[in-house]
Amino acid sequence: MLCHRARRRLNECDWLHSNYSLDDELMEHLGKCPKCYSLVQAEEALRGDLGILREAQPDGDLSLDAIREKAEGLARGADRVEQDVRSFAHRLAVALMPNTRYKFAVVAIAVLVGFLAVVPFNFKEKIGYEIAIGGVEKSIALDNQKITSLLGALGMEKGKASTLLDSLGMSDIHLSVGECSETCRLTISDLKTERDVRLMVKAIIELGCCQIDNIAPIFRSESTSLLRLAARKLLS
Amino acid sequence: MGKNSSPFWQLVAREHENARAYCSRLTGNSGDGDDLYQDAVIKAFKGFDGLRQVDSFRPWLYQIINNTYKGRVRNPWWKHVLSRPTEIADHDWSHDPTDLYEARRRLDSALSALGVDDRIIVTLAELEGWRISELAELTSKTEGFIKMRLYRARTKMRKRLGSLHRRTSKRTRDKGTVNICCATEPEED
Repeated sequence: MLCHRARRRLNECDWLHSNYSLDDELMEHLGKCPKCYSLVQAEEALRGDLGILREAQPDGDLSLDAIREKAEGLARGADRVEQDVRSFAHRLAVALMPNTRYKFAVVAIAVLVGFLAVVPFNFKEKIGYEIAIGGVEKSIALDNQKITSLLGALGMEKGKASTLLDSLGMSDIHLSVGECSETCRLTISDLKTERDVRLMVKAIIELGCCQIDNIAPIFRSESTSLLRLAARKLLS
Repeated sequence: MGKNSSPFWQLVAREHENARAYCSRLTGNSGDGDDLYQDAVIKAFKGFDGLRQVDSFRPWLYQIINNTYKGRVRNPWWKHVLSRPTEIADHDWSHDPTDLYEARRRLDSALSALGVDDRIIVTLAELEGWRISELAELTSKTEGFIKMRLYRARTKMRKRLGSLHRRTSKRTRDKGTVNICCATEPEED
C-alpha cells in the first residue's frame, strides 16, 4: 500500500484506532512504514494532549474586581487628562480669541499704514494755470518785465492793476517773454486757481490790447506715498 | 466613556472564567494568559460604548482577545528568523513529570507549525469547544472555510509532531549505538 492511500484511509477512519485497526492492509502498512506510523502516533499524542489541556484550568486566581478597578482607574485618568486638555484648550481659546482679533486688526492696520507710507506712487498734480498772450508790442513786453508795470504799460490804471493783483493775492506773478518778432508772446504763470485765471482773462479782454492764445493747466509729476500725499492735502 | 460600565462588567463576569482559560491556553501559560486577558478586558472596557449589539458581546470580546494576542505575537521579521520552533528533543522531560506540562510542551511544538490565525482557530475549536458555526461568525468566514482550515491545521500539526517523533527516536537510536560502541571498547581491551 502506498503512503498516500494509507493516509487517505486514515482520514476516512478519522484517525481513530478503533476504526482503522479493522483494516488489515492498513495495519500491515503501518507496521512497515515508519513515516505513516509516526503520523498515527502524533495524532494519538495530539488527541491525548488536547484532552488533558481541555480539562486544565489556569493556575491561581485572577479577580475580576482587580481588573475592573484598574480599567476604571485608567479610564478616570484618561477622562481627567481629556478634561484637562479640553479645559485648557477652552481657556486658551477664550483668552486668545479677543487678543487674536485685536492682533489681527493691529497687524492689518500696520500693514496698511506701512503700505500707504512706504510704497511710492506716481502722481500728476495740477499746480496752477498759465495764460499765453500774443500780440504784445515788443517794446512794451521787453521793457516791462513785471506784471504790474506791464499791465500799466498796456493801459490799465495803476490802482486797478494793484487791486487785481491784490485780489489774486500775488504780487509776484511770474511773467516770461517768449518769441518776439514785431510783437511778443507772453506767458503768465503761477495762477493757482481758475478764479485767478478768470480775473486775469477779464482784465486782458478789458484792455483790448492783445489776444489770448492759450490757457493751459500746469502739472507737476511727483512720486510720493499715499500717506504723505493725504497728509499734505489735509494740511494745505 | 464608562457610561455603560455596569452592564459591561456584568457581561464580562459571565465570560470571565472561560475567557481567562482561553487566554492561558492560547499563550501556553497562566502568567502570559492573565496578562493577555487583562489587557484585552481593559481594551474592551474602553471600546464598549461602540458595541451596538450586546448579544454579540462574547464574539466581540474574543475578537479583542485574539487581536491583542496577534499584536503580541507578531514580531519583527528578524525575531521570526532568530526564534527557532521548540523541539521535543530539546526538552528534558524528566524535570516536568506531570502529564499536563508534557502535553503543553508537545502541543506548543505542534502549534508552532501554524500561523497565528490558525492557532487561534485550533485553540477555540479543540480546546474551548467552539462550534464551527461560532467560529465562522467570529471570523466572518464560511463554515466550509473553517472546516478546511481546521483540517489543514491538523495535518500540519500531525506532520510536525511526527517528524519530531522520528528525529527523537533516531537520536535515541544513535545515542544507543554510541553507548554500545563505547561500552564494548573497554571490554575488547
